[in-house]
Amino acid sequence: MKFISRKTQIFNTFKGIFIIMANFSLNINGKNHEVDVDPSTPMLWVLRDHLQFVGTKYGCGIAQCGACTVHLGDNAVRSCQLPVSAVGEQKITTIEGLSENGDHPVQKAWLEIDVPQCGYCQAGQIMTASALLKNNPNPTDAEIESAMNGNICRCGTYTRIKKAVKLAAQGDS
Amino acid sequence: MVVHPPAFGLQLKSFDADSIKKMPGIVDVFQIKTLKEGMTRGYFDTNAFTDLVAIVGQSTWQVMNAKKQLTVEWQPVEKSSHKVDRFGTEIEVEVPDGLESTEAHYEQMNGMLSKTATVARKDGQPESAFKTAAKTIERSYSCPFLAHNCMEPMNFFAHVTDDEVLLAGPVQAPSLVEATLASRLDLPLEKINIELTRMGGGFGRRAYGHYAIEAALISKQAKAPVKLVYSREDDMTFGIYRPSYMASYKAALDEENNLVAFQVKAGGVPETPLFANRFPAGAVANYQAEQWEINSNITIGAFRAPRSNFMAGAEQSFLDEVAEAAGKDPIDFRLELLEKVKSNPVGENNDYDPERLAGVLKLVREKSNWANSDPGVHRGVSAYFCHNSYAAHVLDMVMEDGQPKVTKVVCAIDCGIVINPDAAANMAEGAIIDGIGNAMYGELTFVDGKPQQQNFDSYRIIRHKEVPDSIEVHFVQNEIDPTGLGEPPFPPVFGALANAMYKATGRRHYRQPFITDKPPLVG
Repeated sequence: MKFISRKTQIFNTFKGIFIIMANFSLNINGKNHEVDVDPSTPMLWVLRDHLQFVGTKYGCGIAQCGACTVHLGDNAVRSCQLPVSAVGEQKITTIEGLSENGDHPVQKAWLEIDVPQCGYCQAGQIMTASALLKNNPNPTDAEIESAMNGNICRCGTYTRIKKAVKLAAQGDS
Repeated sequence: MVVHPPAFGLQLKSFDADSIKKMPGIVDVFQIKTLKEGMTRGYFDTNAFTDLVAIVGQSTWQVMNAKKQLTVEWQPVEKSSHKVDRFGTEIEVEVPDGLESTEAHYEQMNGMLSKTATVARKDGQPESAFKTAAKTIERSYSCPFLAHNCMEPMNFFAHVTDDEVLLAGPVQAPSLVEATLASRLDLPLEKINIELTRMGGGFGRRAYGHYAIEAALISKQAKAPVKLVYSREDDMTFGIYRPSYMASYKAALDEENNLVAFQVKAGGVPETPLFANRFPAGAVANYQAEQWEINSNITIGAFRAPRSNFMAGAEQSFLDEVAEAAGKDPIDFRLELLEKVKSNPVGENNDYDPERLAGVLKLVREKSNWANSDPGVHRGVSAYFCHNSYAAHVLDMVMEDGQPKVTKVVCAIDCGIVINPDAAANMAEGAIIDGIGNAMYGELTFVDGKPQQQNFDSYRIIRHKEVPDSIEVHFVQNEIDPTGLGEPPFPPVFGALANAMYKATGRRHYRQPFITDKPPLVG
């Protein structure tokens, strides 16, 4: 789907409701990005459709699968449930911005353990895992399971994900 | 995006494009017909919803919002039939009308158990052998429809112009899509170019490329490059599902606890899962395999290890009970039968190699230290042949807060030469987790034709906390040409899990998913 960017605010009438396209200035992966979108637009679609950060994936749209996980500040959030209007000046990090050369300890551990199969959920898994380790550098098995439980992997790479999170934690300490 | 009927048995009656055309970002709203009226369909052109409303817009979120507001009317389908090219043979497929429900499916399937079915194989004199048996065991097993639920919902990019057709996206069988599209657009094959992207999961679902055809038709009508996106709800309710199956088994033991007669009768909505020539065929002098089918308008198709994904669990659970009735260790019992197939096989069409099936059982017995499990650990075993490979699992379970939890699985596989051992182990680990998940939780139910699970809030997928801590994968080392690995480790998980659950809970589970099945305690 081709997005036609708008420089000016436009008004549209639908069933008597005014829908306002608004300009948002977003800090994503350390850089400033401007978008003109409906304020209700989830960050998932702002990232994918408007800014071409397509590493963040759509899986369910209701915060049940974790494929769309990004960092808001230091925390893992489901971008399908984060309206662009709620972001404000908080920093967003996507999989593209986790490290410059794909060498974040979690990414290195993922390579070492050879975690992915189809790969579709893995960006979300890595974003959840990296936020966990940032806030809790030496998690217990139970803490890893709790933190990761919201991320579905349909190929069933869970045992390798857990191994990789542990490896990344050791690498950090 | 496309809008499809909310229930199987319904079709598009009318829609009001004006109801959403003025919404922000909406470019066009129109109808597409995925398949031509009267055409002979390819085997993978399975599709219940060929009349769709397409909504074209500038961004996904705008189209999603418009879709919710579209005024659309549906009407019941009439009984119909169409031609299908089944790998060179043209067959006529009847599609019934009506709004089907899971409850009615189970009533129909239960009804089939007592009816005469089509005999697919008969060895010896099963009727008289059952009459003179010292002990007879009879059980039946069932499973629900399953949705594939690939993490990446169906989607495709298409750019159709007068001169050429460019498609790009995730599909398992691009040549089949190409053939159907050439016929649908009346274009020669060479005008169609399909680029493949990585697939966010396939599991058989992406063998059915109707969504690529839809994208092309939308692009043609909109005269623009488009990306078709299914929402998760679209993906789950516009499925080509794993069918719902039922199988009944009967075994006869003589005074010395030898298996003297065996009967399997299997069917489903809408296809039979039976493999008449698989184990224990060949090991029993008096053997009969029968099948039946109940027609349906719910679309079904390939799902990781088609038919085997049910039959393995049913058969391996039943053999566990027969071994117990015979007072024998479940691995010894299977090996004794396999020895008979090796030395003196019954019948000529047995489709497995008894030595290789015995081989994975012996390897898993050794690697799991079968005879010496830790206290509090309950074990189940299972072995199965499919897709030309052999897999056996020993699954360990403990009771944690009154709930069964799988702690460890040891697996032995014979798929010939293993080219990439780490990727092979990863795939087997995934198959085991997939098997535990689908056996425990997987279920798509219908009420009046409407799928009752539409997203991951109601369709339960296995998650991190439910996964065993340890999975060991061992490959039989040989010089045989490589055979299937994506499927073979999946089906036997259902049996190993059921057998371990019996040891852990004292209950035999006959109906998947096990989480909602509450059978009585045994004994």
